[in-house]
Amino acid sequence: MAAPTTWQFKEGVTPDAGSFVPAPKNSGELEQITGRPTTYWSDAIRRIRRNKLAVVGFWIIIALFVIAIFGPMVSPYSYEDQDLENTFQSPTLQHPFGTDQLGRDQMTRVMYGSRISLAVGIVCAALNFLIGVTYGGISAYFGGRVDDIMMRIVDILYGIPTLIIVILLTVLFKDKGVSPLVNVFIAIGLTYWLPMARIVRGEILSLKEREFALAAKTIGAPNNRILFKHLIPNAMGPIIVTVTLEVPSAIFTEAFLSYIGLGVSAPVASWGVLASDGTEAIRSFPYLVLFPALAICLTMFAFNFLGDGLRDALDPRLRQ
Amino acid sequence: MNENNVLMRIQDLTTNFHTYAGVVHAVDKMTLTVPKDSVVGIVGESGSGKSVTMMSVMRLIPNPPGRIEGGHVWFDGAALGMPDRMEKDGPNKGMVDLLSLPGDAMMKVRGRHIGMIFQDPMVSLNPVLTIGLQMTESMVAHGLATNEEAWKRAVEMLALVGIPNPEERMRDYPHQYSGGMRQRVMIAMALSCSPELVIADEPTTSLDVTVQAQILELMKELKAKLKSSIIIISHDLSIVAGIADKVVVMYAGRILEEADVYDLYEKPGHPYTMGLMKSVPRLDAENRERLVPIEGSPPDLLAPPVGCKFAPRCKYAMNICREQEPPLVTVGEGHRARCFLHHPTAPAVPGFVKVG
Amino acid sequence: METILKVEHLKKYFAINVGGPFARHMASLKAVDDVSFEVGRGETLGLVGETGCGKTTVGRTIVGLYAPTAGTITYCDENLCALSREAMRKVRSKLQMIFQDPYASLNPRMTVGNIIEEPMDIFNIGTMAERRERVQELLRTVGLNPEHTNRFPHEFSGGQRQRIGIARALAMNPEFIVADEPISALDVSIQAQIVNMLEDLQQNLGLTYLFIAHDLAMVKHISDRVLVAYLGKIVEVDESNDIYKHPLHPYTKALLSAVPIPDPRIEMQRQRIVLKGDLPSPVNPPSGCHFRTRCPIAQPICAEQEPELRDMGSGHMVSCHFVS
Repeated sequence: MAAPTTWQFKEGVTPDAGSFVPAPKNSGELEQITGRPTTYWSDAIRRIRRNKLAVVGFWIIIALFVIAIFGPMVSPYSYEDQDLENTFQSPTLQHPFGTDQLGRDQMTRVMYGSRISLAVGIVCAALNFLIGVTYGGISAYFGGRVDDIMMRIVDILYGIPTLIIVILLTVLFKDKGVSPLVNVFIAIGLTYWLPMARIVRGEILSLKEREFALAAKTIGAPNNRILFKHLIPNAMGPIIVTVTLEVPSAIFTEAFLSYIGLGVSAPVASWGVLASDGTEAIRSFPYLVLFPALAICLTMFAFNFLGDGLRDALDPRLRQ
Repeated sequence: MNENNVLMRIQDLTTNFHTYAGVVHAVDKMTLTVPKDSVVGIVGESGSGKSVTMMSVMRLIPNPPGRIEGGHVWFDGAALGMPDRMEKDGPNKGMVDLLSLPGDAMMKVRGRHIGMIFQDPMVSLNPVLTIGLQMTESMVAHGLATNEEAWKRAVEMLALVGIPNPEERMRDYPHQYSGGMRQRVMIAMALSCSPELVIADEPTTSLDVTVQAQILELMKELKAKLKSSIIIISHDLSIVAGIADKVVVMYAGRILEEADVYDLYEKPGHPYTMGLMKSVPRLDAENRERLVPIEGSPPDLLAPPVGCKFAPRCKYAMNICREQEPPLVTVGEGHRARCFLHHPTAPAVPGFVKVG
Repeated sequence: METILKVEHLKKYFAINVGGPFARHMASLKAVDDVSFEVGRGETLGLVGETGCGKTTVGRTIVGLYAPTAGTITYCDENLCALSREAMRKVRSKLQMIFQDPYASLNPRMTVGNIIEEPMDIFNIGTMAERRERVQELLRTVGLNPEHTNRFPHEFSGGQRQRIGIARALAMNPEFIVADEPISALDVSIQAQIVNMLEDLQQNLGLTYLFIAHDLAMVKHISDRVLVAYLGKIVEVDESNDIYKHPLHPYTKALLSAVPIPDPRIEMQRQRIVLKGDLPSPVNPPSGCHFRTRCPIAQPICAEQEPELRDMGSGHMVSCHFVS
């Protein structure tokens, strides 16, 4: 025979007659959801908050925007005002970043340069969303021949270096009164949505085989609805990550083009132009190159930190 | 040598997962004895803690977020060949606590003394190495054989698990095997070092019915031929019915019932076990009876119910079930159940054999 | 019984590349190879078979996810294969599908309310308020709390998600539902809930089901008739009770004997018919009878001649040379 059973009850609890009667049924409780509502985005924000570097990157970017918008407004100097009596001043209280060879306030010029950089970044992001996402999405969704042709076009465009495009455009628009900044925008516009198209295509290719996409088809959803309502929102994680990593690269390209003289030119101040001007006097007045270079570095770091953080936060494989 | 014919004794094992939303008590004070030369079936649904228990035994819980918070996993010290680590006295005399072994000693236990068969053989085989290389690897690594000996033994093992032309198939890559064949390879690999214990975690879940039958028949055959004890984990009561000596039913990280295989199916001592049996149709049923489902969903382990974890879904729940958790009481020879219905003052329930 | 759906000589081949990563060499994977059957209004037809038998492809072709390579699908006297895209979309609302994986079949970025409302939204049915009302009603029908419309799928358990999928399928008042392994991804204790719900819905709404599954016991339980498929072909058709008691095709026999029974007294003694070998590739199926490579009673004739699906009386059809 089995060992006798001893019933142990929780301390202080003595079961009485009422303990061993059937408990009242509460059927509502069975289907109740206990957890508090969470969404994909609230989850992602929680995760990115834990990533210190990403948070720092985020705030630097915000600060950059604030400085770009308001900085030149509140500055007592204009980016093109020359003051030939105060050229090459070292940093002082009046001119915290010093002045350049024409006595222009370097801080105002760096702040103004951030406007151009951010404009480039915004154009790049917008084109990524408008062209890259749609192009990649359509290519993957329709597949087959459509995909083949669309992707070969991407391959061809990929093969043309941005530098060549800018040089060609400069030649084309020479003496036509077109701002050199437009060249930069067109060049970035032509090339910077390509990685996005490829990434979105890859995502959609796998998403379109998922059952929820098939389910949308069986309830009669038209193609554009399936693509834009079901598939692309589910690829939003990688899309956002790609944008945050593409934007700094575009900003850097603009700075580089301006540095080698193919982008914007004086008196308009871009970080590339400032760095280029500063390099000429680097031996005697290193601060002239220091500040624009710092600005470029800080921006690159900020976007890349944020991008890496987003990648970790939005990766569905890391969700628990 | 310990006297009790016990190969492994899990004692008060507690494993938690620390997530942002709180602590998930995946395994809570689990106690289980695995006798030598026996087959233990662990049945439970997703989230019941059946796999986590076994991963804890193997010490393969990813940390973070998982952590083994307490308990012991006693393993026969003589089998491990670690006389210096054995308990000198007490109920676990001659046993070694796997949880207190240093990492490198544990590495020698995995594969050598405890073999593991996973649910998805494709994931657990390395796609870029040949089957032969993967099969001989652990034997050589554990110092059991030279390369040539290991190769010979691997061929023998493949033949044993029913792979045709084993000599040639040794040079093939995993993708050249079908799903059922890969699972056979996994079994051969798990057995290659003649471990004392083989843990099979849902070994047939990803397979088709006819292939599942092949694998189950193979395991039955091996059970008769080999001396290893087997722990077979499944979500399906019918899979363990034909192979296990003892069956353990888990729910919400604890054992709800443990019994000899015949006892469990004939006189289940827990409403959950009864519910599981009534909720699946039987192929040999004469006429079409409506199924009796278990209402509700498995509990959220972040906020488990107070009292008996099964009470909210239990047809026979009593007031006391909502207040405190019933102990695992002995209701028969080797038959334990965690249910207040066994209490002398509890009302009788149809189809429920009350002891205690 | 009135026939609601008629499938005749349905074939679906997929073009696949067998030339490896660097060469293009296309071959056709014969997922469904000449399949014919009828479904009567209000009945549940079970379709069982193992991986690669083409059961999912049949279901998906019926609801229009795949275009058939050959053959016709007639639904209520209308040939679905000849319909225009627009007309097809309309008919489709009567032909719905329940998917296997409740974790993958609901869009994770949409709320439950939006998921269920979507079919009505697409076909512009009712005002916004009416649609909301209908969503609440559907949630109650499938036993979910109507207050949860603004929750996201990941907050629900597997069984609850599957019920959301059922509610979506019911939104357009369908007549015919293809249930593609609707319970195989669910926990054992949940499966019966879903099966009972499907039975109740059939009673109350007069639905017709094509129930696709690999679990023979469940198919036997829910279906009136059962089709057994192997490698793109139907090998046996019969009333579900009969097919268990008197299976004729050797594959059906093996399949039935492979199903474990939750009773150790039976299971420990059981003599199983264990099939040898593996499923042949559907790209290159065996000549003659597709099953012959694994068949315990195969003869030379099986390699030469393909057996026809013959009626053995009272609708029991079987395709084997050696059944009489």
